[in-house]
Amino acid sequence: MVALASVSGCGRETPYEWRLPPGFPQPRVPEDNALTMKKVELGRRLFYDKRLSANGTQACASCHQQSHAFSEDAATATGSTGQKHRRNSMALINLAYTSTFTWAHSGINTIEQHVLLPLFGDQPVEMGAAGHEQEILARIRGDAAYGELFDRAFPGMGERVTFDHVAKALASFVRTLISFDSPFDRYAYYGEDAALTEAQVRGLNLFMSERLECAHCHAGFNFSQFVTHESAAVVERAFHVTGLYPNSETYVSGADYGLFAVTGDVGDKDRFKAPTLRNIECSAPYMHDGSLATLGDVIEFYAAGGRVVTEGPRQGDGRSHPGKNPFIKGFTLTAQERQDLLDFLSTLTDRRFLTDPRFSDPNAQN
Amino acid sequence: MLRCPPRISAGTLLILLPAFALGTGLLASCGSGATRAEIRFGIASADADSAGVHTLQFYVHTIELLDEHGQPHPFRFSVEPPWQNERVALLDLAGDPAMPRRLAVGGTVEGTTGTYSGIRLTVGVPFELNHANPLAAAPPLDRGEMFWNWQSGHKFLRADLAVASREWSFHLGSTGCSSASALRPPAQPCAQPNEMRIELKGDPLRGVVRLRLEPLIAAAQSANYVVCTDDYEHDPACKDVYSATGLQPGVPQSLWMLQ
Repeated sequence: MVALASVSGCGRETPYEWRLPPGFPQPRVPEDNALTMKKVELGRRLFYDKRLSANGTQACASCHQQSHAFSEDAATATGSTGQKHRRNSMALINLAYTSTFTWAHSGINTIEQHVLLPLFGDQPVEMGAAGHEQEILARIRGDAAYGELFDRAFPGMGERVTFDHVAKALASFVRTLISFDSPFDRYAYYGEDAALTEAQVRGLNLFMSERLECAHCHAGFNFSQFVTHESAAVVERAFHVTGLYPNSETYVSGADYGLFAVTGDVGDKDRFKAPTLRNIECSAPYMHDGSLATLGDVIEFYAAGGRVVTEGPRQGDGRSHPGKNPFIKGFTLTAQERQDLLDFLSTLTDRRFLTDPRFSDPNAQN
Repeated sequence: MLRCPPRISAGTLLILLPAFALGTGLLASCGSGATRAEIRFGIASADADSAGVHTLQFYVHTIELLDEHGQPHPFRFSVEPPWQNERVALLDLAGDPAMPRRLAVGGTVEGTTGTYSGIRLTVGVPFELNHANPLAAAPPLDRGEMFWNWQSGHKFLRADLAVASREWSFHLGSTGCSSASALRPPAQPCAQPNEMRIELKGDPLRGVVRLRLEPLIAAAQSANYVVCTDDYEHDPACKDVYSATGLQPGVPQSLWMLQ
């Protein structure tokens, strides 16, 4: 099904065409950033441009690589200045339908807000643009090709090359990173029974079962509870303690307590969001700090109902964290069931998304 | 019987109507043949402290008002997205303070409303609506957190509580549903539909249909990291609260009251 995003009033801008399965609701698009082909084109170029970081060494795409579903093969990210990030680079998939961004933040609700974090954040430094704004904008203005792209994306708006427009264009591109063509989608939303093997269907049933409870948090068409769309009544928000670390009675310096850092509510300690599982086999390693290397490790972690940490500053039994989500209660799987579950998770891989030329580096094609 | 309100100015009407509606659950719309009414829902007043309740949501359908002779009169749901369509309504009694609550079902009664002696209602989702693609479903059946999958359908009642810093959940829905996979709907009704058909005495337009938290809290206190989501009848964490639902033959429900 092809659905048109909101058309601008002047009629000169070409709206973006979503490619969604039949019956799917359209994503919400902010009123002040209508989605147009020209903004998406500009945003794509910016996403892959290292000149956007202060020292010119990193682009968004450095940590968000298409072949890894726009995440990277590293436990935690490293910023443009070499500073280590505490968290794993999140995959960028179907963010047009996502209501809350980053691993644990209750107040970042649009992609436009979110892109400012890696650009300007200094704890840690990612792109490092803070304090180098004019220098970076001058680089972009100095590229004649960009002049034309900004003019076309933001016509009749005074100074075109601004960080507001950079953020809107980046958000527009990221909004188009839609993945709905996995074997799971063919089975679930196109009704194609043959899209999954028998083993994959067994794995699907395990995933959805009350015995494993995976689908309670990895729920809905994005396998995450943070879903919003044009006809969604309510924006869901739910952050969970998984038992990855023990409860800390005292504050361990440098530890990542997730949502607690944002809200200051002790009940939010160690709460993180359940990320999407789409293309999950391509976005290893796993968890907010990349501390589980493989999907097999993740299954074993949840089968045990958490883990015992024996190294580092936060040692102890995560399984008995008092805030732990009650659905993470552990389970036993036979070797066959474990393999079936892994087979099911592989059906969430959308090969077209991982190789779609519309999402790839525009410079690489020149 | 409540008749048409006396003639009053539009300004007075605007001021009076909300208080009038709130106080009695009635909104007269004379001349249309049907009278606007509301069935109000809440938590039992003895359990009004809902501090530990993270989620308390449920679906309701097929409401009948019983007149003084016990005769049923259908209550027709009005379409009020995102909370209700013409068949099913979602109620949301407690939870995240940042989220909106829903404490009433809006609709109409044929003719004028009178004094009623009772109410019948079903907590659940009709089978023919329960197992469809939620993405294509009309609100309120598009809520992901209230849906398991095509095979199992919707959670009819979802209660998530934290008691003494322990979390506990009771999610009631159909069990024993057979289909080719979790993503295919059953052709036949599930072995345990688990819809709660409730009849309460009292005037539903003047009282409030209240959910007693006490059975839920008692179950949460006796459980440790337990969720109750399928084998309601046999799982030790579910047994007590399940018997309160009235779904066990011969055991009357004790979860709902009209106050």
